[in-house]
Parts: sequence; C-alpha cells; structure tokens
Amino acid sequence: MNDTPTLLLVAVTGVLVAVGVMLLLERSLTRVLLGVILMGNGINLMILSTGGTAGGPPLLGLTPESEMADPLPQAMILTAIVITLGVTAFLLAMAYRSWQLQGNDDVQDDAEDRRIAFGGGRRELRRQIRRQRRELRAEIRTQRADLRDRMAAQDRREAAERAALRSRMLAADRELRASLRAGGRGGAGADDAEVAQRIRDARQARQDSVADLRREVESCREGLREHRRIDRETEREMRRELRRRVRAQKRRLHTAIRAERERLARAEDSDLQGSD
Amino acid sequence: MADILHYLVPLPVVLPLFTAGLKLAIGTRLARLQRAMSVAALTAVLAIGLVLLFGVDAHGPQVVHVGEWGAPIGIALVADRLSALMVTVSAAITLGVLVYSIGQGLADEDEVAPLAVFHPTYLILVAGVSNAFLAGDLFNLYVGFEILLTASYVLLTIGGTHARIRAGATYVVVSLLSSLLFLIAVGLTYAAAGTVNLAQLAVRLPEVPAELGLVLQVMLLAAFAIKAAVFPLSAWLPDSYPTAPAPVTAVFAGLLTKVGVYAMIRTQTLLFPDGRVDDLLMWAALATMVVGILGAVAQTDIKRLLSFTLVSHIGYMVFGIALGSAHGLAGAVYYVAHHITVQTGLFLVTGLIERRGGSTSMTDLGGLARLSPLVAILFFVPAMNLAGIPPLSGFLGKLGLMQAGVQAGTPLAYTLVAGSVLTSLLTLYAIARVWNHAFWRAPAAGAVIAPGTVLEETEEDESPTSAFGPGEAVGPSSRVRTPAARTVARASTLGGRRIVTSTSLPAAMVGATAGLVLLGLAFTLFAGPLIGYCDRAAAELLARAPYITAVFPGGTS
Repeated sequence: MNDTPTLLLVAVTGVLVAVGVMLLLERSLTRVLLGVILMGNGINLMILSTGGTAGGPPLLGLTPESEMADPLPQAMILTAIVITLGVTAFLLAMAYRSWQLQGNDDVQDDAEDRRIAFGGGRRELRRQIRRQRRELRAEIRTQRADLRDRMAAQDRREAAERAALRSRMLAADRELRASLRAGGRGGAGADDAEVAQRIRDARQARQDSVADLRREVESCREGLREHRRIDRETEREMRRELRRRVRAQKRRLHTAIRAERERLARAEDSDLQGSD
Repeated sequence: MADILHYLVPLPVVLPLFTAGLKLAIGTRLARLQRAMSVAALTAVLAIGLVLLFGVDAHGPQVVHVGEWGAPIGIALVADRLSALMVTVSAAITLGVLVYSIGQGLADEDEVAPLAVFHPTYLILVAGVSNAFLAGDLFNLYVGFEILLTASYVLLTIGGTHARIRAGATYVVVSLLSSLLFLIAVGLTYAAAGTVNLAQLAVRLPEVPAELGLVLQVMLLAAFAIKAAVFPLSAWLPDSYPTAPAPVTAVFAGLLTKVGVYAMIRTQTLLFPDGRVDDLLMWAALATMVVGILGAVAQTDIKRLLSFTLVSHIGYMVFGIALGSAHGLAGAVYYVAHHITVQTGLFLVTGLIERRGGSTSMTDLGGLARLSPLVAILFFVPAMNLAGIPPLSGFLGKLGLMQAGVQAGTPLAYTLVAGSVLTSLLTLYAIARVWNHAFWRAPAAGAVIAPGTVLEETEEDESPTSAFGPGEAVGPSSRVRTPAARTVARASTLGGRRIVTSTSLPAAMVGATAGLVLLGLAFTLFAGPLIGYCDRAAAELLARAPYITAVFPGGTS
C-alpha cells in the first residue's frame, strides 16, 4: 500500500489553515468563527492524509486487508467534526449575544491592556512635569552663573582700583622724594620748614585719598553685599515658585487621573470597577 | 480486590456524564432530588478516587480497554498513581465547590438557572477533567480537553452579561487556538508514529527522527502551556477568570490550569523522557513565576490578584517538570495537589467576602476581621498556605522543589531557586496587602457597603426597546440599590440577578469553604505519607515501564 499523501490534500490543508489563521486575527467574532471552521477543516484534511492513500472500506470480509483504508484517522476526524460543530454553535450564540448587547460582535479590549494604555497617558503627564522641572532648574543654574560672573567682575574691579591706588601712592612718594632732593639742592636750611610743611601736606593728602578710597571700597563692598542678598532672595523666590508650580502640576495630574479613572469606571462599568 | 479494581477506572468519567444527562432530561423539576443527585454523583467519584488512590498504590497502574477492544486499537483508560491522585483531588474540590454553589443558589433564591444550566454543565466539566486525567491515548486526552473546555465556555459566560461575554470571547478564542494546535499535534504524531496510544507512543517515538520528535514535543507543549497559562501564553487568564461567578472561577482556577500541567507531566515523562526542552521550560517557569507575581502586586481587586498569583504559581510546577528528576517531579505533583486545593479555597472565600462586604475591591473593603472573624480565618489560613509560611503545605511543596533545584546544581537551576524564593516573598506581600486592606484596616466611613445591600446585574432585556436596537443597548449596567446610594458594584451570581449582602452567610457556602481549607491543612498534616506517595508516583513516571506493561501486558507489537 502506498503511504505517500497526495500533494493536493497537503496544499489544500495549507491554504485552509493559512486563511483560518488570518481570519482568527480579526476582531469580529463571526470572522473568528469562520477562521476556526476553516482551520478545523484544514486540520481534518491533514489527519485524513496521515492515513495514506484512499483504499476500500475497512470492513472485514468485504475488502481484503491490504486494500483497506486506515480507519483510525476517519474515526478521529468524525470526533473532531462533532467537536467543531458544538464549538461553532457556541461561538455563534456568543456572537449573537454580543451583537444584542453592544450592537457589534467585536472582541472587546482586554481590561488590562486598556489600563496600560491609560497608564501611557499618565506617563505622558509625568514626563511633562519632569520637563518643566528640568527647565526651571536650568533657569536657576543660569541665574546662579550670572551672579557668579557679576561677583567676579566686581572682584576684578576692586582689585584694579586697589592697584590704581597703590600706583598713585607710589607716584606720590616718588614725587615727594624728588621734591625733597630738589629742595636739598636749592636753598638749604631756609626752606626746611617749608619742606616739612610740604611733606606733611603730601602725607595729609595721601591719607585723605587713602581714606577716600577706603570709603569707596567700603561702599562697593556694601553694594556687593546688598546685591548678593537680593540675589539670594531672588533665588529663594524662584525655588518657592518652582515648588509651587510642581505642586500645582501634581495636583492637576492627580485630578486628571481621578477623572480618567472615574470616566473609565463609568464607561466600562463592572470591568474596571475597583481594579485600578 | 485487585482484579476488580480496574472496573472502577471509567467511573469518574461515566458517573458525572450519566448524571448530567439524567438532569438534562429531568429539566428544572424535582429541585431537591436533583441537588442530591449532583452531590451523590460527585461523592461517589470522590470515593472511587480514594479507592483507586490506595488500590493503584498497592497493585500498580490499572487499565480498562473500553469495549474490550485491546490497545492499541481500542481506547484505553489508565489510572496510575499520578492519575489517581489528580482524580481524587479534583473530585474533592469539585464536590466542595458544588456544595458551595448549591448554598449560593439557595441563598440567591434562583432556583431555575443553576439546575437547568449550571449543574449539568458542571458535571460534564468534571467528566471532562476526569477523562483527561485517565486518558490512555493522545486523542482521548484531546477529547477530554474538549469536553471540559466546552463545558467551561458555558460556565464562564453563564448569564450572558456584558462583562462575561467580553471575557468569554477572549477565553473561547484562545482555548480554541490551543485545541487546534493540540489537534494538529495529534494528527502529526499519528502520521509520524502510526499510533496515538500513549504507551505505544512511548515505545515508538524514540524511533522517529529526532528533529521530528522535537517538533511534536514543542507543539504539544505549546498547546498545554496555553491551557496551563505558562508565560508568555498566560495573558488570557487574569482577564477572563475573574468575571465568572465565584464557584466557577474557583473550580476553573483550581482545576483547569492543572489539567494542562498534568498533560505536560504526562507527555514530558512518558513520551519525551530525554529532556531536550528542559532549559526552555526552566526559563518559561522563571518568567511565569516572576511576571505573574509582579502582575499580582499591581492589582487591587482580590479576584484579579488571585488570578495573577495563580499564573505565578504555575511556574513552580513547570519548574518541577523542567528539572525532570524524581525529586523535581515529586515536588511538582505534590505542589499541583496542594495548589488545586488552596487556590480553589481562596476563590471561594473571595465569594464569601463579596457576599459579606459587598465588593472584591481592596479599596472598598475594610475591617472585615472584626465584622466577620470566620471569613477572616477562612481567608488567612489558605492565604498563608499559598505564600508558603511554614509549616503549611505550600512551604513543604516549595521546599521540595527548591531542594530538587539545588540537587540539580546547574546555574540555571539555582537561578530558578532564587526566583522561586523571590516569588514566594512577593506572594506574601501581595496577600498581606489584601489582608491589611480588606481585613485589618478600619473601614473608611461610608466606603463599606452595608448589609442588606442588593448587588444587582441589570440586563438590558428589561427595557424592551434595546433588545434589537443596537445603538441603544449599551450593555448591562451594574448598580446597587442602597440607602447610601453607591453607584457601581459587580455581582457574581450563578445566572440569577442579584446578591444580597448580609451578616449571616449561608451555612453551605461557609461549610464548603471550611472543608477545602481543612483539606489544605490535611496536606500539611499528612505530608509524610503524601510526599511518600508523590515520590512513588514520580518514580513510576520516570520508570515508564509500569505504565507501558500495564497497557500492553504482552509487550507492544
């Protein structure tokens, strides 16, 4: 007996199962049902072809044993057909009930999937908050850097002023010494008092200018301190503002989540009730 | 005794099937008699299961060739130690759930629907489960699967409410897909080996080319893994089980996935003993455990949470199968028996919680420990058992599996051991959350549904316009009529329309739940003999010879 299955049966099996799988992937229950029927038929054909080529009816005394068809696959197919029939009836009833309840026979979303999709919305909101927070932080950072720059500039200015002061003092000294030498060469003795007077004057002038400069530096420092204080306050203010805005965002987020939950619960009635 | 023992083997299938037919013929008359019939049939199955359990342990596997057609031509029903244990445990829990459902049906005053639909379908489900456990050939195993699946379609969509049709669509389509896969695998196996008798396949399959054998093995595994809800084929379960009525969910969660696990154990040990996909199974077990329990941690509805722990704990059994050693298999068998009982008990308690507290959502419940200490105890014991607190049977089962894993000693096995410890801890965490929320914390004012509240599922057929007006029919809206005017609630009735929450729970429901909790404790109390039995069952599975010689006393030809 030839055991090779015919190519035609195998090809038909393949086509039926392929079409069945395609229909199984549809949303509509009726199409799924058609897919199940096609796949079932395809598999039955496959089981039939496992019995080898066709032979006579497997009845003792009617057909010689060597010409009999294999009866077992046929018995299995009969059983499978009955089962498919039952399942088909049930699926039809379910599709009809589904149509009664909601006007279509589509397979509904998985509640869990829906929750995950909803979670996606929540994630989006969270991302938004995080982005805003990042932006505010960056703003604070730039302000701080600005403040640092301004302080450094102030320091530089002070240093430059001090240097100018020192050079002016040195210049005054030099001038004094030069005038002393000139005085010593000119009229000695007679001009002594005058020279001393001039030295005193010069000193006085120098002290005055130093005091002036000190005052100036002091006021600069004062200004700087003031500046820093204001800066700190601004920073604090900004942080407060940041916190406030984050809090407000969170509040909005939570309200949105609550609203969404309620909406879903209402839309899905029992399905999502209490499952979030 | 020994020579008549094998006549008992078909009875766990025949008795429920026969009773179901009788009840369909009687219809809705003679309500009391019918309830008694259902209980009597399942009690008889339980008794037969116990006799088989001890008989098979003493006298070896028992075989019945249906219609006296000898194997491999006829259909063989085989009861070895594993089958006998599964039949006994399934009979025990189906009996418990039946008593519970009778209590619920009486309490809800719905006389007609349970008798006309629930009882016959339920008995057919039991027959299908027994048939799958006892099947001695691959095609009969397929038929057993189909019987129980078709019955489960009806039970899951009982009442035909919006939520159940939605969940049922997913469940039916996924189950159909697994059945079709299984059928293809059966056909290919027949083409490759020329037989579907399991014992003969055990002899012949090693002779088929190795690659072809691998294809058959993987196809069968995929079909069973969908049934057993092994990750990544588990996504359908947590979405479909929780919408069914409490007794239905309980028996589904307890039994149906375990039928898939049983089929995996049977085919892995008998047909494919060389363990070529063991590593794959290990990874699948790890993923099932961890992903499942992480899902459970995220839930707030008790039913959904329990469904996820169910998925997660299937991983333990797959772990045992994947180890393939005697200890691993013994651990898996013990764990299956333990888990059937505990998971069923927990779902039944959830039904009681719903009846007492008016909800299964942790956010709505509170203070149940004070309101109803009995329910609290009935929840606490199996919950701790599930989490694996010593000395309960969950701990023993996990310990056995972990020991087997350490014995295997491969890095992968150690990873699995670590994963199972983690899963156990997370289970404890998830369960403790339920305990804290539903039982321990003070109930929020106004949040708890008062006793006497009517949880109702309104059907749209009550409004005549919507039955054929697709645009208007928006599905049934569940609502609660109560002085406090709460808006939504879900009622899991058995085809009836309402549940009235009350402080006094029906005795039959509490009794059945307590019975299952006690059965779970019995697994702890009689752990010694039971683990001995599981060890012998595993040795028998690995030896293969007892099974094969029982089916073919004269040797396979």
